[in-house]
Amino acid sequence: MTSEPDISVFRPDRPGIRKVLGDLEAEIMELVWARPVGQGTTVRDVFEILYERRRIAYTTVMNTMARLAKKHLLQVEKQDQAYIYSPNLTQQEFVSRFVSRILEDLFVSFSGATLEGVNALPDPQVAAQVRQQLDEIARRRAVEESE
Amino acid sequence: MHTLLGLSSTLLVTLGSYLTLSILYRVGSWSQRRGVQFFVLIVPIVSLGIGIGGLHHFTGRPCLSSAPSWDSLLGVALPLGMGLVALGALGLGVVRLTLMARVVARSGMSAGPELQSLTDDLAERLGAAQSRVLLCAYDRPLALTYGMFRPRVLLSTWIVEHLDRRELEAVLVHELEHVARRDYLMVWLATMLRDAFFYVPTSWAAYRQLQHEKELACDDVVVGATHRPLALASALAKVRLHAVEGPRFGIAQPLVGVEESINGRIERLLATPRPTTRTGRSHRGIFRVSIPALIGLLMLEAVNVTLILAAMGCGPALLLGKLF
Repeated sequence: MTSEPDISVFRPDRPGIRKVLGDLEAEIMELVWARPVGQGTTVRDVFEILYERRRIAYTTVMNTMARLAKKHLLQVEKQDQAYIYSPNLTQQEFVSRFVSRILEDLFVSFSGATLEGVNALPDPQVAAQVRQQLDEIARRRAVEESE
Repeated sequence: MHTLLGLSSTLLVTLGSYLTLSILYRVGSWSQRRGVQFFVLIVPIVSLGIGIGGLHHFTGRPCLSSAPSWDSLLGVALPLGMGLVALGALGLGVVRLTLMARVVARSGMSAGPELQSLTDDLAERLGAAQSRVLLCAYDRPLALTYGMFRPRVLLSTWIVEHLDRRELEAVLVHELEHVARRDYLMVWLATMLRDAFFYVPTSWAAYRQLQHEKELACDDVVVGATHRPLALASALAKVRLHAVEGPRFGIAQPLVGVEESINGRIERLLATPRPTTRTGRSHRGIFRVSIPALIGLLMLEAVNVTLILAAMGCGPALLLGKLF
């Protein structure tokens, strides 16, 4: 059974999954998700890739991966003498879960304002239609002016 | 019976208004249509008059003595309530007017000489009275006329900054036509009448039609005067784009209606380069529809009052004796 990921922070000013994960946590998760499905990874695998990007301590990577396992983002399995980490959810599933979780929390705490906010979001499809309409009018105006 | 009198007179007014609105499709001119819509809005005054007149007649008269107490109570409470609502609507209308005057006085500033002279030229071309143009610093599309007897045109800085010259001309001609038609005064009166007789369903229908058609009428004048429907369509499309792209907090629903209405006007301008409806300002046609409708309604109301009074034991002869 997959446990729910533990989301305790939300930073609207950060991009992508960094809204709910620290920079190193997000970087590690991206590396784990980049691996073929069903193939686990070790702390050393992740450490070697990260070490090439910047000087980082092995223990920092190890502690961060242990924290991700504690947050139910990774699951850990002992094979022979090594600990193999694999993701509990795909990246898409994780995003979908934390968005639902945040929305649910907002609805519980501020139902009216959240509903209003969701309704108030501009509809990109309609905006695209109107832009198309404006382009068509501009084209017809140009033809009219040139006549 | 007293209650029945009040309710039946309101019902007759509603039915008469429905009939009048249903023959509106035969009226081609915008000004005539507006006259008929205004007639539908104002005609519930007849039922209010009957109600208030009934109060004067019935109070303390033998008619009431045989009526059950709830009937007497309702017979007095209904017209009183209708009168109070009408007074409230009048008060609300005055408050609206005052608030608008304050907002314009606080945020409106004189437009530059270039914009004013462009407006004057357009007014001359239209044969309309010259109007003062005011600008307000507002980063959203806003163009309206304001003022009961000497209307002014109020434009937001967004309009001046985002529209090209042809589009701005089209918007100004549209607003000048609102000035010529005295739409601000008409809408102010219509809003008060709608609020005063909110319980009459035709008031809402006539009000919606009046609001919608005043825009179409002014669009037609733009097309006739400038021969550039695309310029106005383009200006409206820019306003629509701003409406759908911008945040809509708190006013999501009203804006959806506004956005649909703007789209309808754009489609109309794109589909029909020439106005399909006559734009004359003759008032003769209004009377052709409204006067017979009013006479018919008054006759029906008279029959209704007579019949109900007769049933109450205050026959027509008695009524005449009490009235004079």
